[in-house]
Amino acid sequence: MGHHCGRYIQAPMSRRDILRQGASGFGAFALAGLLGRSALASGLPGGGPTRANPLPHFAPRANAVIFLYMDGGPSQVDTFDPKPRLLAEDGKPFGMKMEATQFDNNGNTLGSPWKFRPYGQSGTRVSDLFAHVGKHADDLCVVRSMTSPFSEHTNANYFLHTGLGLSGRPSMGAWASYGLGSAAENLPGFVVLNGGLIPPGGLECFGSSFLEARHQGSIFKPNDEAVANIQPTEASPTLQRQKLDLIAQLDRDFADRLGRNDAVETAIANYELAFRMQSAVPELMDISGESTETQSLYGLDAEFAPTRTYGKQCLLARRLVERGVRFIELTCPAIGGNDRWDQHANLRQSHESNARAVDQPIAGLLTDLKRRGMLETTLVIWGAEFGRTPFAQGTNGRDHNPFGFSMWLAGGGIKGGTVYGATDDYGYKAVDRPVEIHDLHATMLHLLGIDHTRLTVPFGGREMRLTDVHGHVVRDILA
Amino acid sequence: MGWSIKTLIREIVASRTYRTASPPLSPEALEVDPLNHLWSVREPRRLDGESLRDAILTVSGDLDPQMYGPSVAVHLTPFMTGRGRPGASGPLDGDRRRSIYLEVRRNFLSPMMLAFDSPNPHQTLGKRNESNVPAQSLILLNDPFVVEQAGRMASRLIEDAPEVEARIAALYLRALARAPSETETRYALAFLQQQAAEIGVAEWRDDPAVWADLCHAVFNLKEFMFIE
Repeated sequence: MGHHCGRYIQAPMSRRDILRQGASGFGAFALAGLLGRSALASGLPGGGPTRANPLPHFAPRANAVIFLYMDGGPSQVDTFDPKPRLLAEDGKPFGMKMEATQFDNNGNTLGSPWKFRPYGQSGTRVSDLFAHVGKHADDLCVVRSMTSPFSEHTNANYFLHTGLGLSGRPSMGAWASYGLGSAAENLPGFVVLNGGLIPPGGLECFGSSFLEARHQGSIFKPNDEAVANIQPTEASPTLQRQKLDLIAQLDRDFADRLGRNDAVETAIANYELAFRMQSAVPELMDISGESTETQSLYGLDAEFAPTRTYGKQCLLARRLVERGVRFIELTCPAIGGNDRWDQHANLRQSHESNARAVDQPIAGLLTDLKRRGMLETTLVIWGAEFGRTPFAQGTNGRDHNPFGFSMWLAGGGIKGGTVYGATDDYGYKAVDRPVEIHDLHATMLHLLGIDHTRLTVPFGGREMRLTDVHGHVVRDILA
Repeated sequence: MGWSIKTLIREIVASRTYRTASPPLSPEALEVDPLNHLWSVREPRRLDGESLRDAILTVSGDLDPQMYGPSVAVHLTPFMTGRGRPGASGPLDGDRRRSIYLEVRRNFLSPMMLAFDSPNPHQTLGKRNESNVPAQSLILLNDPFVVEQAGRMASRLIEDAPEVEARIAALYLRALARAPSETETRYALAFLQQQAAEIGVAEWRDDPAVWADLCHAVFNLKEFMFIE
């Protein structure tokens, strides 16, 4: 490590760097041991895990996050935020001032075509679109007062994923991986299970930006070849093994000549890890060991193909959590005739098929996590970049609405059976205890045992955070 | 020298300091300057993604040194999807041009470059990360571009050097800028025959597949991807 003026990210501390640091060498080494292998593996100075700033900052409530990203923005007033007044005034001119919308083709008040029913002891009202998820109402905390400053998908997606409405900042999954490392032996810390739809904004939603490349979201596909370059190109395993043996043999001499340089040693070790990943990924993807009951719980035998795809994603999410992956994001499956949850028209038909794809698998995931005792330590987040307008776009659609929308959280330290915040009588704008995306990020990191103000990286002349200079932990929703 | 950067670089790389071998930190240096603040040695550096790709193209003999002109469309893998995906993929080998001529398309960045810490194009970066992750090994082991280049290098070697040991020497000279040691030659010969036995070819001496495997192994050597 050479001189720097705090402008640069230093290379990770290596075992030898720690030992080199003079008198307290072994003391530091012992402490690094306490941080755990995974924390050390991501050990960067600045606000990363260091002697002065050991991570986690406090006892975590969750070891992993599953983010169920509902691409395009489902309508809050048709899912988790019932508004009887919309029905009463259905078809009449909208009773509030309408802000500019994406298409500015605003119609009249549009009541929800779906019934809401109370579920569980909490009596949280959920629409028939999510009849399966509704049964888990007592585990959910529905936040009905989410807000976002962006009403266009790309910016709103960057904001939701990275805390900034422009591209180029690390994704929340990358921050989680940076803060806590991967506890998985042969898998990365941040995995995106791509059901088919990469969000507007593209792969930059899952980037690592100024964090190291290891924190990038790795894209896994639920079918076919799951991970790029995981499939050996050799005709037989022996051919590859012999090749790796030759590489190892030749590398050994090179490494000896360099006096066991850490970067070179790590690069050598990476080949064995890569070799093991080649079998770890197929092992992860092979769900034949899951019982028929489990498979149908997730909807793997469903008639509707997108349900089967999303079901596989949900099941894989559980398997990734079991293997120690920190942050798993699920993107939506592509459904013919739909553009995501982005129903500028044909609300009824398209929301119906979107919900049909994800409702049962999500409920299956919650059931499965719970019965395995994993829900307690796994934070599940359902939500999107924004919601939709309570008034119609044209006659049968809804436009983008960032002023008030719903998300829900479950498991990992969340107070279940609760509703937090509220929108106005029309479900248009958050009026009671509005929650910003920054607050969601702060709360998520808090549950992972991280103080969002202390997980920082020096970049561009200052310390950067997922929450920038914003964010409050929403303490009222914590168990 | 004026303001010529090329002249400056030549001056630097031709200097004695630059060409001095860089052995590990001596025990004395470890004692007085363990963090190497005084630069008693130069620590090895991993090649940047672009340089690594250029190095592979150069030693395979495939590089098209043409300068200037429009960039080459990015090669799209099945993992690169989403809004704005170009209608057609660029060539796997990037038309064999240097990496600086590869298109940088905002939401469809090259996975190889991303894995090797090429910065994203949205903001300035004071200094690149130099991470060291298994995804990089997976790319060098299994990416079709790397495998294709190994094959092309093998064909050229077979053509250029008819004799087996001379061919191994040519491979080392091209890829590592030095001759192989006797041990290394022995390892290489043994490997060629092992691969041939596994594939089931009797006449291994001029078999393109076994030589491609040897070239591929050399692309994966740490000596190839690190600058001493």
